[in-house]
Amino acid sequence: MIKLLFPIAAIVLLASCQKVIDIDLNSATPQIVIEGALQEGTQDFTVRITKTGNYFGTEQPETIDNATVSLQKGNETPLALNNAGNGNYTAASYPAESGYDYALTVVVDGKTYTASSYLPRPVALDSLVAEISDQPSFGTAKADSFQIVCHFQDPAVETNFYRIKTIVNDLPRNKGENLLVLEDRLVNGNYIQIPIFTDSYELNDQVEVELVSMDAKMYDYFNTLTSLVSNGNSSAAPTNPNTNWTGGALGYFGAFSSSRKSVLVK
Amino acid sequence: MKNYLPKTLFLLFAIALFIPTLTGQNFTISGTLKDATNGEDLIGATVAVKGASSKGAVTNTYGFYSLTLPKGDYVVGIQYIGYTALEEKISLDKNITLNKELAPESAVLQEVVITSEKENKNITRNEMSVTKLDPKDIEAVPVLFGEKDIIKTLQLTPGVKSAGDGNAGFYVRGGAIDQNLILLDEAPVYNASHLLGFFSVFNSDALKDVTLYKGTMPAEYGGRGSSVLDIKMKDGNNKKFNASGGLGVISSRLTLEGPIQKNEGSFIVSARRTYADLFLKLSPKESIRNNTLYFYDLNAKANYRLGAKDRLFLSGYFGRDVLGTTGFGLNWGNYTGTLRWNHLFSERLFSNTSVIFSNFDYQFDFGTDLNNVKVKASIQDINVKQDFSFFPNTRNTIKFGLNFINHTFLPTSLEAAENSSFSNSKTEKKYAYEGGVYAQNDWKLSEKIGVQYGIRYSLFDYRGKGTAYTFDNKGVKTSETPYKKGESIQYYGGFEPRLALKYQVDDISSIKGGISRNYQYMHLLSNSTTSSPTDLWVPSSNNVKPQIIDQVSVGYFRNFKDNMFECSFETYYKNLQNQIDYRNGADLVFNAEYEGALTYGKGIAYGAEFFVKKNKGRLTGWVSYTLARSLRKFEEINKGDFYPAKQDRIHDLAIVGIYKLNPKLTLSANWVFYTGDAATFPSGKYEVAGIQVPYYTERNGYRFPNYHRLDVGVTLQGKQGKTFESSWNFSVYNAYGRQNAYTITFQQNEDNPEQTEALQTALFKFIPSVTYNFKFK
Repeated sequence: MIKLLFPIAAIVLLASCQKVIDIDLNSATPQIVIEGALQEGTQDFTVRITKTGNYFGTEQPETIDNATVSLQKGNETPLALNNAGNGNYTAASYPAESGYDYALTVVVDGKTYTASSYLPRPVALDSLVAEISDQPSFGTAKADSFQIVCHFQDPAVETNFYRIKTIVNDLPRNKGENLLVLEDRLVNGNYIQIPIFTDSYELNDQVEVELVSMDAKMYDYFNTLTSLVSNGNSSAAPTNPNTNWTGGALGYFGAFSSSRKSVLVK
Repeated sequence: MKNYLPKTLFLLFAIALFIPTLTGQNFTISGTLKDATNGEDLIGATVAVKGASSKGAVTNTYGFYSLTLPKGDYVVGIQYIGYTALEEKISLDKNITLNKELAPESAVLQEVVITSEKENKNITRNEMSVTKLDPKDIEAVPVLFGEKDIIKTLQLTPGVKSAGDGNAGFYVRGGAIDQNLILLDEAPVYNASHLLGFFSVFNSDALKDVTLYKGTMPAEYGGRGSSVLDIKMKDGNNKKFNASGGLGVISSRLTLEGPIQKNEGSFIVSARRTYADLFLKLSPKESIRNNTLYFYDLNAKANYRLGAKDRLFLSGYFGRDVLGTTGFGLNWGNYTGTLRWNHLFSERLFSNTSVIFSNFDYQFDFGTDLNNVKVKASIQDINVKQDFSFFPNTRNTIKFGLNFINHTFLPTSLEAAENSSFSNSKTEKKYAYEGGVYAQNDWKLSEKIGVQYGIRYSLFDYRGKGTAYTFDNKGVKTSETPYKKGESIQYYGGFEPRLALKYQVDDISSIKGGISRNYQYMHLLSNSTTSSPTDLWVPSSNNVKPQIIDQVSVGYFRNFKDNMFECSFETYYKNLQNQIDYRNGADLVFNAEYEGALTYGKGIAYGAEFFVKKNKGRLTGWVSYTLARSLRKFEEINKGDFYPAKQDRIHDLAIVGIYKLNPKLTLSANWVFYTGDAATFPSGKYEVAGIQVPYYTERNGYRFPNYHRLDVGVTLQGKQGKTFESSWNFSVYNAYGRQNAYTITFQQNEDNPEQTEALQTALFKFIPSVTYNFKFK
């Protein structure tokens, strides 16, 4: 939060000027990126394998179409995913259960990448309150816009990690600046009331809020990702997010559970 | 070699103390030198036997000198640059007290003098790598918002780099910001900046003397690795009361000073407050009117002479920044206090005893009344210090002493209201003792050769009550041991030898060299680009080892045209051990186990500094050029290869010119150019969670665009009456409007998220300012 406020305060104070500049960037050797998000419940599970591209490039990323991918629940026999082409590997109608460890193994050109993730139980969203935002200098919020406060009970018996996602009028708000992750280190067992300070809403918006639960490694990934792509980030030494992949791949494999609630802003 | 150095130094002390005193019958001339107009002590004035300049003494911080000579008749010359010299005939057949007041020359000669001392002092002194600044002489140098600032002027000298555009943080010879020991009347100032770094906490109206040691520092200083910035406050006018001040765009200043008892004691109170927030009140929007944003400073000092041998000083500094908006407030500041007692044990033994207090804290709160959360952190020092200066003879000046500091750290603690989502989180306090014992001799071996040698033993004891943690090499906690109150958790100590040599070729040139070791037991953890008040000071512990910084430097000094031009060329090499960085995703706040997030490495820094200064004439000023590198090496960063530190600016050039057009009008300009900061930029991108993510391959592998800037200023003297004088100062910062990069961020295009772009933010472009200064005498 402090990190967020400082650049903002600086801007209040000073008439700064911004412009998009041309910078010559090196082209790194393309690196493998593997993303797999396993949701609790029975649904299609997709793993996407691509390569990094030039930073200013506009072309679609190169995909990896010759990988073998398998998913293992606990100590059960691994399930091979289907190569759906275009870098996608799928397991149709896969029943993911909370309380289990899942492991994903990817083999590309003889090189093996593995990652595992624990699927935690979901935490129920209690209620959502939309109110007029009186904090114009917070995040991207415009003056006189609305903010949404999420209310829920954090379970005291376990360490919880959350991500809050929103879908506004059926469109997901998924820009880097909207990323919002939380841990219960300072709020364990408390009744939480947290404003979604990474976004703001207009009158009559239909907002669906998803409270995602994840394990510590996923929190570490999304937390370090947030510091790279959030608004006004000015880390002196940015580094790649802390991935749970072994073998040197970028991206993550995470198992998530979630609860949802909707609110009409009025 | 390092092991022999301490022993050799001890031997040298023995020689200095015992050999030269064996000859004949000696007597001592001693006393205090002051400014005749206001009674301020003159620091660094010389008292020397005419025709034998090596037989001389220099006044110390309190204006005291002591000169021991064989019985006889002498003519003694008393000199201080900018002041009319005095001569005194003396028959030395007993100890003599000679207190003198020197009158300033009418200020026609120099507008800016960096060295306000004897004209070729830069050549003759044993020390090298020292920059002196007289706060009253920096007025003409144009600065941001017209807010004259000693630190920003120091940034225009060789080896000193600013921490960013308009920033009052500084790096010395490739060292980090926390490696600068900043002392205000002996009290350490832990956070020397206001308003997110754009102003230093030093109100130059209240300051008398500013000395920066960037190489081999005298043994009396310790605790930081790279430099000492020793700032001394004015004592206050002990002749008559006067008031002075200034009105500026951003802030106003007022100073009151006067005698407590004429010639025996005086006081000074100097205050400054910004009023940017008053303009916010004019806004039609309530949300903006509710913002607060200001800082204030208060410097106060009093001194009183208790008799011929005793003098007391009490000085203090209070400063605070307040920043707030609806639902959020942040304030931070330093308090320091110094009580000093000067005592003369004899004509040749001067003593100063100090009790020093320093506190830095920040607090912020957010949320409404019902779910309010308060966060606090602080660091507090109580320091007792005893220093002696012994003047055995004209060849030696010996200083020795000791000090002891009790540090208390409150890392970050959180206090939450009943209805808040947050739980109270009281991080335990940390305690440590730090101490030092030192001895040093300034030895004139011959007319040509001078040596300053000293040694300091420093110690640090990290103590209970507290918990010591151990971590594996991935930063995962492996054990937790509670310690009782007063129990030592970890002890460190070490010898810090300091040696400076001078070979004086002739009156106008000399060659000097220096070697030193410094231990640093306190570290500042920062994870933002610029310095911020929420950066965390932490002690050395069982996990964090003290930083050890060794430096070797060599320089050539030469003056031209009767000391009109002063030139120097210095080179240095530094080796930095036990440097600290943190792991990715490190959480330093509210985290008792932050040490697990730290990683340790080493560094080197080297460079060459060129300096040419014109001291006299209508045009004065200087050219400063530094060619330097500063590299770091951490096992976990950059595959374990050396990488440039952020402050690795290869070229750094500053040109300062002040031209006195006529007695009423002074024009000034400075131009700055430096290599862009080392920075980490992406070398690729990929998509994750629907977000375009930059892909990084190396730390600090890129550079910001080169920085350059021109500032211009005009100072117009108003009426100079008997009781009132005034002046106007107009200046423009960044006169040709260069957009210097403050940050460069990589992000998705607002309208087309598939497109990624580099966005540069520039802060100060063409900032005009006007300041009105006045003085009632």
